[in-house]
Amino acid sequence: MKRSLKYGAASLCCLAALGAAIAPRITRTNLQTLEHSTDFSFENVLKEDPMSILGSTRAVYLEGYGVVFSAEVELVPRLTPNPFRPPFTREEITRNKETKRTRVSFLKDHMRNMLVDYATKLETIPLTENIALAVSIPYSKVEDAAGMPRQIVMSAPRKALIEAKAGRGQSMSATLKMQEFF
Amino acid sequence: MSCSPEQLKDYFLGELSPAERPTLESHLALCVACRDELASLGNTRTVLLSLPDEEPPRRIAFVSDKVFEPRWWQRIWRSGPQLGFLSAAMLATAILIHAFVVRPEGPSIARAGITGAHLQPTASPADLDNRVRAEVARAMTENETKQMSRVLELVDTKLRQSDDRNGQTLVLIREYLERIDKRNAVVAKRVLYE
Amino acid sequence: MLPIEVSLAVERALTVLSDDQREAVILKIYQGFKFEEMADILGCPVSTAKSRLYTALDLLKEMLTSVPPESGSGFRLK
Repeated sequence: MKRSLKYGAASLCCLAALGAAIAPRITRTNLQTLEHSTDFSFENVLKEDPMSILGSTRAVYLEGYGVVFSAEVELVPRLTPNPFRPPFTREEITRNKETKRTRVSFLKDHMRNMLVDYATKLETIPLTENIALAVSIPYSKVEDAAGMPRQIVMSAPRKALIEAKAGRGQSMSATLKMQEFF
Repeated sequence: MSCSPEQLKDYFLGELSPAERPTLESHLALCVACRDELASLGNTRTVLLSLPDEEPPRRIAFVSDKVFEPRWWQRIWRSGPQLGFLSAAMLATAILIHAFVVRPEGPSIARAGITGAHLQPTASPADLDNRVRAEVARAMTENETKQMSRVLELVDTKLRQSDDRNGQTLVLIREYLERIDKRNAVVAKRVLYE
Repeated sequence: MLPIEVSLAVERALTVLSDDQREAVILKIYQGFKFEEMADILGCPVSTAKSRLYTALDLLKEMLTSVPPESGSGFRLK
């Protein structure tokens, strides 16, 4: 009787320890809220000529790494070719590309702001872990997408983002990693 | 020529061949009935297209109207394996253009939000009958993929068969359909989960 | 008529159509496909697509005859 009680107590302790290690630092519900607010943010940051979400934001927490957000965003929906409007002229194609290039710069700035915003909201994520945001950008076969990024991935440790927001620490550009895929 | 309602509709929709147009236009010059019919078709199209540029769920207003009991979606949705093309796109379009959903209870809440000139958000789409939402989710996930794959298959086949002249149009159609599909998924997700 | 009344009228009219007819209207009037494209997409002959649309148009014409075309605020398929 005593022995089994001892083992019983020991296994309970083990289970408790295991449980604590496995429990994720953030709930699905919390991540879902951030997914929705990301979608909203992309679609509403520009009042005129807004961007459009083609792939709802998905967020994943990776133990030891941090949180990764990814979405698909249409840069300038009004310039998307479609079969019901006359084809773009050469000049328009060139002009549209420039418009999209400018929009890419804007998108990158916005992504930096979003990372800082996430860092503030993801309170349960350790400061040593990272926050990443990946945005995929679709292009039509009939537009000039040479040299345009098809995916932009930005990441930074949560600590650096919090410090950047407070105006302390290194500037964000030092700690923020950005990769572009063409 | 005598009046041909079918040819008139072809003409109205821009589907009458260039060869046949002069004959029809001469007839129109002489026939009041056909001119009236053409005007009537024009008005009908204008009215059909004159819906508010709204997208759910942020700007859905609710009115109390027995005609639009929750079953309205059933008319658009066919049961069984043979679903109509673009069923998911149609439903999303239907939700888009049918910017009103019935809640038999709570008319005062609904009416309060309607000023006429604007559609105010008065009740959240969470008020949609849960059964309706479950049906929509099930149908959209099961059949949207099937139907859109079928369409994309058709377009793909045609792309391989066609000559360059049509190539670009078909590429654009495919991109357009894929974009519709993506937007519908985004919109559906919002309607169902927000 | 208020825009909201126009929307209600259009919605009512569209729900009266059969599924086939409504499909045809959405493909032609709202999405602008040509008849050949509709036939490919629906997997039916052009004549069938046409007859569904034309019957639908006649029905819609009847039902929407009292709606003034200037009311409403414009539709765009996003």
